[in-house]
Amino acid sequence: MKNYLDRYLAGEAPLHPESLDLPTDEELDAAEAEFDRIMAERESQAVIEDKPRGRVVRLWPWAAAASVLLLIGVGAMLLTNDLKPQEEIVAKIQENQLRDSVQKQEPVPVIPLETADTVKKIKEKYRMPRPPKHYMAKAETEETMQEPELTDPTELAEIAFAEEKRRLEMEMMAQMSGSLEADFKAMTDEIRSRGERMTQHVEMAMSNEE
Amino acid sequence: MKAEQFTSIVSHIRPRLLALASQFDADSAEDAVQEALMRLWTAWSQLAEPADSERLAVRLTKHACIDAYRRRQRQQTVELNRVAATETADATDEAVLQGALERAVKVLPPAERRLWTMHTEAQMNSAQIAAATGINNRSVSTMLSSARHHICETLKKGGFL
Repeated sequence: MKNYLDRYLAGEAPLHPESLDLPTDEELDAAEAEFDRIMAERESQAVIEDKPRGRVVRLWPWAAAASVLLLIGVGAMLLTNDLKPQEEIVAKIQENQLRDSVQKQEPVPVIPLETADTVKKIKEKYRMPRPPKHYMAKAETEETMQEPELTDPTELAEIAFAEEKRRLEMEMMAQMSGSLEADFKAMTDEIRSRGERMTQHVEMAMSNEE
Repeated sequence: MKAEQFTSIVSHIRPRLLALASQFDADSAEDAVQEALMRLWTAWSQLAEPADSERLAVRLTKHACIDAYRRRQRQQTVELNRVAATETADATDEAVLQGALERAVKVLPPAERRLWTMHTEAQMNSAQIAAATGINNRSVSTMLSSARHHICETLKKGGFL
């Protein structure tokens, strides 16, 4: 028994050696035919099962078209329902406009701005402090400095001539002041050179005495 | 045909056989291919051409598929008959041991059982089993030793060792 077990575990003693006998050609042919038959049956069953699916698939376009039509119908219904309230709103607006036009024809009492309650209240609440005196004086002088608007052509011509004259005077003054400045510079240079010469003479005299 | 050619040819045709068996029944495809390749191995020395081996492998796979299909159809009655047979066949110790070994092999994990059956029944070596199952050669050796260990453990529990 031990010997048999050892041989079995070593892979030398098969339990069922007859199970590995090759089937005869007839058995193989029969098995092959049965195999093919079963596979063909399964394929045909699969085709039969797929047929309703095919029908369903073919029905999809119709279903889609029907759903689209349904959506369009529902949309149209909703739109017609929505139009009614819009018409009501238009009628109301027209009525309001009519009422407004009638009210406009009636005289509306106008309260003067100064006496209006809100203006009074605002004034009381936000009293502006009076500006300082020097500010007011400056503002007044600026106002006086402003030239009055002239429309007469002769006056305008006079003003233009006066301005031109003033400009020429200013230019002459500038030229004169420029020449005076040059003379003054020459004088100062001469005085400075004379001083320098005097100091040289003094220094020479002092050195001679020594 | 030479034994060395078995590994390369079987590695080449195994995916096709597995696809064929899976088309018929995905659950028992591995078992059917294993059975077909075991039978192919036993007939290997008698084959002349690689084309013959491929043709025979396809036919054996179909046969194994149909065999499994028929077995499933009469599974319960076969089981009952087998139990009765084992109970009555208690004539010799060897027969008892054979029954215990059958049961021990039956409770092995499916992958181990396939490899062990190829090793013991068809007496295929690790390289041939690797080619027939698509499992790494080293893994085949490991799984075979694991199966041997499991069988010994089961026999010990049954009081045979």
